[in-house]
Amino acid sequence: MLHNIWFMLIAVLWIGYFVLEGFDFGLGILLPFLGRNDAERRALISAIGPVWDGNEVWVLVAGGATFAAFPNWYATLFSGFYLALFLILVALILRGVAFEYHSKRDSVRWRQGWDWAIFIGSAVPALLWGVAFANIVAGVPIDKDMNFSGDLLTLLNPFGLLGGVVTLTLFMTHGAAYIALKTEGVLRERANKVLVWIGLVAAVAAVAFLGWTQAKNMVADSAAVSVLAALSLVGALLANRLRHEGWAFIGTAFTIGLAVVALFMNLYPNVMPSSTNAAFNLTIDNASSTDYTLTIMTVVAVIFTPLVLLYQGWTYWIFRKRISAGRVPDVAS
Amino acid sequence: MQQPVGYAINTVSHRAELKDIGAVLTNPTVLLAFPHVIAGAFMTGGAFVLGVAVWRLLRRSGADVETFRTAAKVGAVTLLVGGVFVALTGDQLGQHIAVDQPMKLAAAEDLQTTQTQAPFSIFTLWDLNGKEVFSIKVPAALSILATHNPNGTVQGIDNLQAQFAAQYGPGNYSPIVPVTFWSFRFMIGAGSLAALFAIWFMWRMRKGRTPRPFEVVIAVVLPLLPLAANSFAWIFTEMGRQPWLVYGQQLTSAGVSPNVSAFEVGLTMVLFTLLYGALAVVELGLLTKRIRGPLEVPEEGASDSALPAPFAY
Repeated sequence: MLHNIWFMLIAVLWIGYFVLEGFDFGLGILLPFLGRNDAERRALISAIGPVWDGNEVWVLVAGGATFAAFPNWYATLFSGFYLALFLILVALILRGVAFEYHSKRDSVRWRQGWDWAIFIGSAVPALLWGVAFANIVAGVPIDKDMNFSGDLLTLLNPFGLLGGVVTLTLFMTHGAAYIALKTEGVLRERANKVLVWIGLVAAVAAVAFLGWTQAKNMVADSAAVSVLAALSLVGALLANRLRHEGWAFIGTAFTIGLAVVALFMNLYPNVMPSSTNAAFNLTIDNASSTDYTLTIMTVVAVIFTPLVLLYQGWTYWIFRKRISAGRVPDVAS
Repeated sequence: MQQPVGYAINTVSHRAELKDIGAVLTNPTVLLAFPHVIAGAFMTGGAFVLGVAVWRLLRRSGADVETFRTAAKVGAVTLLVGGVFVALTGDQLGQHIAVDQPMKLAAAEDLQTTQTQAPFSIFTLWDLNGKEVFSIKVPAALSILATHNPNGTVQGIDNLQAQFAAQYGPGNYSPIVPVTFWSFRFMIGAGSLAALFAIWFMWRMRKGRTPRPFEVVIAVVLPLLPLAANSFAWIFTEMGRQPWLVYGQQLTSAGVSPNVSAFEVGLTMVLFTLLYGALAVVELGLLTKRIRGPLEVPEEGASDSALPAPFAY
């Protein structure tokens, strides 16, 4: 019972992470292309400035919850995907520092350097999270002692790479929807335009990926959710065309959220299937903590999750105004 | 990991399972080490503010004197109060370790045999075989540190090694002694020196006096002292726990991921070091620029911008 609840809660944490950090990854990737001068790029970064770090906390909680609720899943995943997760971590370190140092010196060249750091720091995790999740769902070589027996190249298979392209392009679409919603003037116009193109690429990649996932392991409910995810993306593209930017953003948010739901439904009741032998699968039963541990975690989650949602929501409310290149104050000395 | 509590080993699943969350949250090591670390952080902050303020007073005299005199006072008081709390909690922690992790304390002193009136050496040199060739010792100081009694008994490495070998089977249960010995002394030395400099500057700046120009050297070194003390403290406590990953339960060698190679660990270690090294250079550059630059006073009043300046990037 509690195993099922925590499997669902971990899915919820990943949905929160990809829906929230998804748009600030997307904005970071679009930054060099949509922001054509320094003032425009500063406006774009300021649009996520107060919220990106709060968004990133979701992945820490997802990792922490996996560690506490399913320690064997955590152990197999983090030692098995060691180098891939190292690359993600380096990218996130570089990206976090880039936001903070960006305007600490009044020099366009200095800021351009950090703009590229933000681009790389956003693009690498956006791609690699998709690769990682595609591999988790498809199954990786795991031996009878729950140890991953592949290497970094094992993960870079066609299905994994397609998963990476899906998250990369979906996050870019989601980022474009956020920019269209949060800025005004030329930035808003460009975001509206780029959303159409990148959204179509994302739609093709996502349909191919979710179709391939179902072909590998047909789960009827998961297939239905995949269809809903695809419909949300179509809805987002239509709303964008009609300049209903709020609806377009909600549409891309639902696309990402439902895609994560579909992947977790496809996974259940496994948490990390073994491609070596189905008997070696990590499941919600053999990978989980005791009921005592899960009960304590549930109590803590019930108390603190609403608090976190409240103050994160409050941040979005405080910084709800649209931002434009002409209205970002100077900061550096 | 230093003092595992509130768990039981499940013999079916071969793992430690949580049995008592209350015991974990009130773990004596946690209750002592946590305030010790926090007080150390206050020392770091205080030393930074004091160092910068004294540097400004000596190198940028004329402008903003009152601001930096106040800053120096706040920094010195924070550093000193932090230092007192570090010493108090450290003293308690030392006594706790004497009981809970006697091998760590023995390795901090290189105390070979169990004895009363155990001395504390200020400085020791070993030859390549680990044999002591020169040492300056304060009589009974280690016994006082460990038990608050000059006649207190402190257990030695050889006795503990024999005891552990009998309890856990053959093996070497001693940490690398020169590392624990020196990190313990550098921790105490750097921390004490920082607290002494706080008193020094309070005295030198009493009633409107200004330190002499050469004291700028102290101001520059000062912020590094608590940083060094904190680093050596972590090295001491983690290296002092060896060869255990979880004290008395799991050896570090038993905790290594079987599918992560030494090459991968080495590679990521080197890359993390390079990344953090490069970021430290950037950080130091920005800090010196800000420290040398004009004092900025935040502007009040309305602006046309969509967001306040601290949130503009």
